[in-house]
Amino acid sequence: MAKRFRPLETIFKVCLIAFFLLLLWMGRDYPAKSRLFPQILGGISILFILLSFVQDFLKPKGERKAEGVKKPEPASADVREETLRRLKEVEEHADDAGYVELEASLKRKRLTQGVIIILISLGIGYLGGFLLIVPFYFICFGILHGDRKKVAKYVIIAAAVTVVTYLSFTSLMGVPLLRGALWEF
Amino acid sequence: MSIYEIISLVLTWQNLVALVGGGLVGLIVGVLPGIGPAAGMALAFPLLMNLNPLTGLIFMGTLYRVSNYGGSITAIMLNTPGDASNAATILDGYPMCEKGQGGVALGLSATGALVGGILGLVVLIFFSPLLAEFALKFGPAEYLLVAVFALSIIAAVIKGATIKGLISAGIGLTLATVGYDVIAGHPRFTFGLDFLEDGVPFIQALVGFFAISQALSLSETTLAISKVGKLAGSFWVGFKLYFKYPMVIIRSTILGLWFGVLPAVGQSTSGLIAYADTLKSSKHPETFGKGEPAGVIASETATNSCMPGDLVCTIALGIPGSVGAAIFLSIMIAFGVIPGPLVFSEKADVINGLFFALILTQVFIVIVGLTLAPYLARISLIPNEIIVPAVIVVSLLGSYGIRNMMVDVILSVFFGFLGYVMKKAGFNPIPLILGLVLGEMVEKNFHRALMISGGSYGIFFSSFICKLLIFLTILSLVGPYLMPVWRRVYQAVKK
Repeated sequence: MAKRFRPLETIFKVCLIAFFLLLLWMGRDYPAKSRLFPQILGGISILFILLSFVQDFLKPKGERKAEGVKKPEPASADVREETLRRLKEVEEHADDAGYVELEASLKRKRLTQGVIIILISLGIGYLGGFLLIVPFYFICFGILHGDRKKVAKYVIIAAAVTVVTYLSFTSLMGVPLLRGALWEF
Repeated sequence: MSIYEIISLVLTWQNLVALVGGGLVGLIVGVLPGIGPAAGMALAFPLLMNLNPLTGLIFMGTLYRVSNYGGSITAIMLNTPGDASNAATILDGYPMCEKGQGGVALGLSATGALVGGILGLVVLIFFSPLLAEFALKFGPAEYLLVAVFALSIIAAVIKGATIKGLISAGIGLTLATVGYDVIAGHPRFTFGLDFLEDGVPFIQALVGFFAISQALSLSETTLAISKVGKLAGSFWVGFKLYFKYPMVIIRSTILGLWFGVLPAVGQSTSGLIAYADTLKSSKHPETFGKGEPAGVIASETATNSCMPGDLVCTIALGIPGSVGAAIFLSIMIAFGVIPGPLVFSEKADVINGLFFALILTQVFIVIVGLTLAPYLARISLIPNEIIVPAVIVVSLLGSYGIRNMMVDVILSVFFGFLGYVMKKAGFNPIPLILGLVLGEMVEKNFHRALMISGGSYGIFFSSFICKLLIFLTILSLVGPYLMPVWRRVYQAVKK
């Protein structure tokens, strides 16, 4: 049976209420005209979030699950389609666990890697300039999410995109892509 | 001026080079998420200052026009609208791409640009004075209510999550209040950060909520955007399919024209409203959001028929209907073509020539679509480990290039993470973006209306247009809940 309150959705809504309350609190010292519109917005938004909680509470248990079950698609000659179809079937029978848990953990792993790559890239960009981010992304995503035997391919793509980016943005448009905390070109 | 004179005026080699050049720059600007027509025109203008006014305006007009089409390409192929005006196209364009029908969707989009644009131009050439006169009847209260109606209808479009759509719109409107207050000039909700004093930058937010969050979603899987791994259908299939929906085309064109002449509401709203209208009038609403061609047709036709209206309002009244139109207005003035009612007689050659060139631009769009669509559709087959960094790099470049500041990149990434969490929590970012776009206009008109009425909220219910808009807003919000009840009653009566 599906839960009435999905954890992520509930946490997000609680955070939103906290966010709007914070803004209302911050706005209390603003001039009357400056705070009027955000106060109305904040009040209405909090009201809608509470309504959304009521809606979730009134929702019959298992409704979400019932909506999600679909008829299996007809088999296809294409192997890739067939694999996808089976994956869909597995997702639909989530209670059987196994495959779904493995798939979910792989997705989580790849997402975490993606987030870490992006966060590290911000540091690299801050220190050395935006251009350094370009090869970093292509090589990291290629190695971590692609086929590790094809490293040379990813390096060539990274180098080509970096050169094109440099030529088009820095040389032609004058956008300083190598301006960071460590140096400035 | 006779038609022959206008044609001979436009068909010089300089003007044709300007048309093709502006079109190509517009395509690149449109395809790069976040740059958009406004930034594209601003970047190109210093290079064109010495051209004669007609040639310069043809370049800019074509750039403006084609960038809109370019934005629909990324909306369909990468789930990332090039501009807020393409937001509705992703709702069904991207699912079509996932099904391997990217070429068909591009065909629908290009044909929408052709038909919507030409119908828009032809109608507006004849009816622009009448439309502009009616639009002038709109006061601050009416403008505020049009924006509220637009937000409510977008929230209603999101099936089963109307309240979440409204919350999302509320977040967008609230984010628009960050920075200096539009009336009193008092800084609000900046948390002491200098870069927030001018408000939450729209392009950076757009890049984050669509491009970065989409890249994160793509990074979860090892496949490509096209989950079926092959392409079905072509540009021509889309071209032919387009004309099988005549009612959608007519309704969307009318909506686009109407929203085009409303200052400051513009293209970002028209596509979404037309999408909602098509969804509600469809016999198969359950197919929307899953790759329904009518969704792409409605969005693209309305957006493209809106654009000429947007320009007419800009040229005839000097009131821009969008950020892009505002830049175009500034460029017109810089070229010595002062917008206003007299411009049609004083600069008839430039204005008529510009309108004719814009009709030619529609043909350019189809040629570009026809030649490039098969290659563009192949984007959906590129493996995720290559498309993900490409999406991130291109979109962050757009974000960085505006002010050359890493803080903009950090902001985009922040909004990207927020957008990803929102999607996972079941919140659609489209109402948020529309709220962010319309926020300043809504607040300005809210205060103006209250100033006119001496602080009485009765002004929002005073005119017939206000009452009609309130009724439509309520209907759009309550409608989805009443429809099942209505169907049951109807079936019971029928039995």
